[in-house]
Amino acid sequence: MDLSELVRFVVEGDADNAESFTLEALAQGIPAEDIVNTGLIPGMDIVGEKFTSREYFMPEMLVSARAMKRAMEHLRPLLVQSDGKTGPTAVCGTVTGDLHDIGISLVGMMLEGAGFEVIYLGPDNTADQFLDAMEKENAQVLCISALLTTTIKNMKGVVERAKERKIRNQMKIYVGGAPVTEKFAKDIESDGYRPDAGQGVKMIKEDLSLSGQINFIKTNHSAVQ
Amino acid sequence: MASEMTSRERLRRTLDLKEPDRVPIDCGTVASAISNIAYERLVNLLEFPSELNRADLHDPVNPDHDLTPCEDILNMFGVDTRNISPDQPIDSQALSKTQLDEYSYRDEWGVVWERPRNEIGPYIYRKGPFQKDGLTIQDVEKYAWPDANESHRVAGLREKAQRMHEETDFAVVVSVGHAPVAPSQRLRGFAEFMEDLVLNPKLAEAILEQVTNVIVESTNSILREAGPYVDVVSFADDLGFQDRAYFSESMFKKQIKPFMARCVDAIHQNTDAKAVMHSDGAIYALIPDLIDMGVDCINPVQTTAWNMEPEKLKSEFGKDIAFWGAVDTQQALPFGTVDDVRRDVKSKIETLGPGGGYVLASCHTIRSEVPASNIEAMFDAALEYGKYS
Repeated sequence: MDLSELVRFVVEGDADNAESFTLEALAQGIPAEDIVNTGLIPGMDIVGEKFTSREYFMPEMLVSARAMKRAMEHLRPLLVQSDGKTGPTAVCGTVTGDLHDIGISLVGMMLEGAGFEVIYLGPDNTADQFLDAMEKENAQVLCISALLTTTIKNMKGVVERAKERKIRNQMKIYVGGAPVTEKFAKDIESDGYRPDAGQGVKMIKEDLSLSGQINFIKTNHSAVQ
Repeated sequence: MASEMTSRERLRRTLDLKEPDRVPIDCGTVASAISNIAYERLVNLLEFPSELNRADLHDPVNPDHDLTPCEDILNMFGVDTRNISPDQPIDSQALSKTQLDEYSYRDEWGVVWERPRNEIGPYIYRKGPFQKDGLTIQDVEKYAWPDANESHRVAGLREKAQRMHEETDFAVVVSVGHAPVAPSQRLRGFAEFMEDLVLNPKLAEAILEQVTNVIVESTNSILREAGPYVDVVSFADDLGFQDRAYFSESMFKKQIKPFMARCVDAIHQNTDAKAVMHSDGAIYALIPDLIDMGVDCINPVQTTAWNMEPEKLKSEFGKDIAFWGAVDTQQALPFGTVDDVRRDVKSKIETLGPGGGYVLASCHTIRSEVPASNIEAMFDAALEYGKYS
């Protein structure tokens, strides 16, 4: 089977075919790891680039993310590593006082498509809620967002609280959202900011590769039997 | 312009794309109100202690809400606009619907609104009655849509509008609520509606159709009463994020525009007032379509969004559409100094003002964290720099 077909289904947002192709590929004995690495991840990379170049807008993005998720549902049980995860773990959510979460939920979906395990906390999270989740899930990456100028101050609170809890060095903290700027991201000593989900996920992948943390998806062979 | 115009003349002239005597100033009408929290600090700075007893200053169920300053402050600021509104408009975020608990309520469309629990903040919509798997076109058509024709909705509106028109020289503004995208998103879910536009366009169309019917009826009903007496009819429909529009231009033209056009037509069929459209975000690519539909003026002109530089907007669209807003609420007003704010106001006037076609206002509501000194500086600068020579 030609796994580039799966790339096409993801890019075109064809969830039905993405799913049936995945099931067929598994039935033919293609390892789940290969399907993800050669089919899904490249597909989401292309989608991310189309988003950054503004060829794709939010409707197209969401539809492609849905196609990826439908395929992933069948692959995830087969990908679990010995630590119970599929790959590096990211916690995502919006900060205290902010309920606008469409942007961060898209980031979460794209991180899943990039092979991450994503713990999605939704809106309105305190610093301790984020950090408790980071510790509980042994996560490497924290992505926080805000839409309102009234709530971006809480991003600084998350970074400071991580320092207070002496766990700041154990994670990367990324920030995003309409009122956030590069300068703001630097001033609060976060690990980075990008203006859209495509560029953000690319940055996170590159950062983790550089720090040697990436250890991607391995097939759980016992589950395949 | 040698002699001073009335507020109404000033606003009408600028919306006709001609230079008035000075740039008109707005506060409290088209997405330009002030958070009660910021307002409390403002009245202390400006020394209006009686405003601290204002009935709507504090609301435990809605602790961060918008309000319009008192007449004395509006006059001090040189504000040319005044709002009138129906008591029970159909498209209301007012809390007259079913309060579910301290943090949530259901409006009469059936949409549940929530405010944050961990910090004081405004309500936003969170869940809609169509936000479920397996929604059909029949479900949409058979839904108990709100009735815009109920007479109590516009009771007293004609008298209010007539009085404002005949007894004052202000430019009278009435809002007809939201045009079809926002209510459709609220009912169906933001992400779900977006996906429908791609995967199930007939379903999206069915929702837009029903929503548009309600909006058009509501607009007709409001303007039958107020139409002869108003200078501006505003409506809102957010079409953009910070970095792009919600949709491609081709999707907007094909799937959204036909419905929005009906909403704009309903305004122009009922009044000679100008149609002012509010849309947040990076909507540059959609402006030609808005002009084509008959939108006379766009608001809030979010110049910090992508491709929304005021110079570009003025040079490309300034001969066809007016601009309302533009004073930066993402950086200068909340986080800048008084000088930053004054500089921003001066720059927006110099860029958007020439030839008329600019109404100065904050580029969205002045939120709770904006310092009182910055609010004062904004309106001070608007009067100081706004004269046309």
